[in-house]
Amino acid sequence: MPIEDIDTGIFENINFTFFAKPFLILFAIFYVFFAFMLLRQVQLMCRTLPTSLSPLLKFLAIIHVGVALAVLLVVLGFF
Amino acid sequence: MLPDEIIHKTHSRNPFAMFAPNPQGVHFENQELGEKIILLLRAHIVTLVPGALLILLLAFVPFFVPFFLGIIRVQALSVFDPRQLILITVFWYLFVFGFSFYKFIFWYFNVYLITNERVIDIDFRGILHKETSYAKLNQIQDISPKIIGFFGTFFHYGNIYIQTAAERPEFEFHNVENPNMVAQEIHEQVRKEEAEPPGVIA
Repeated sequence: MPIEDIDTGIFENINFTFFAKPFLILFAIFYVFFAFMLLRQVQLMCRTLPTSLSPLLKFLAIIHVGVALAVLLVVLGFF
Repeated sequence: MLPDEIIHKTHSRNPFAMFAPNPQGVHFENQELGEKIILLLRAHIVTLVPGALLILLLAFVPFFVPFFLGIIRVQALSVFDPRQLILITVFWYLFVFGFSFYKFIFWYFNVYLITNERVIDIDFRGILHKETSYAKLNQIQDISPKIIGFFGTFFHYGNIYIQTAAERPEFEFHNVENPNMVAQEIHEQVRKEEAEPPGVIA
């Protein structure tokens, strides 16, 4: 059978939003954990090796946690 | 400039330096009074290229997705509303940022320090793995620098293997710039340390 004749229309009937929401919520929860662990690691490493860049790295890690939490809340509330 | 002058007469202020002689504004945990950092080393910047390419590829993924969905006859806009699409894209770029940040701090905090008293290996091997090893200069027995491979030879970086009588018998400095110069400097510091009376920090 030529490849052009394969029916790919089955994908059109799948409700992607139904799968996307739980997947995104789960992923966002894991991501928030990852962001917190990264923040903790940056704090520990900045204590082990303080450099002139340490305050900026800590700031970025905190912003990262904040944005990850915000995205989780938005996914929970509005998706 | 002679290798000796590069290390002893330069004071690095660059926080991203991979070869930083006498780095300014850098300290470390358990630094003794009078102990000075002579060299701070990180992996050569060339070793970051594969990671940077992967990040670049990940950043372009949202541009390719509509094309691949089109192959299986799925229109992204008919499946998700624009608000959901924006949210998914924001999420994707947050993930790309997190991955890039992780890669960067992995490189930034994996450092090797040579002080006037010790050799220190600070390892940040994973998200929950931090390891610091110290060896006093008078415990160092053998130092072998090695430059292997095309990129190592071309960009002049390699590994340094240090045999010690410390708790950890071998220290490995991976992918550091100018391994021969670093090995020579460690030899010099060991000679100076051996000439000092015991217990003196100078």
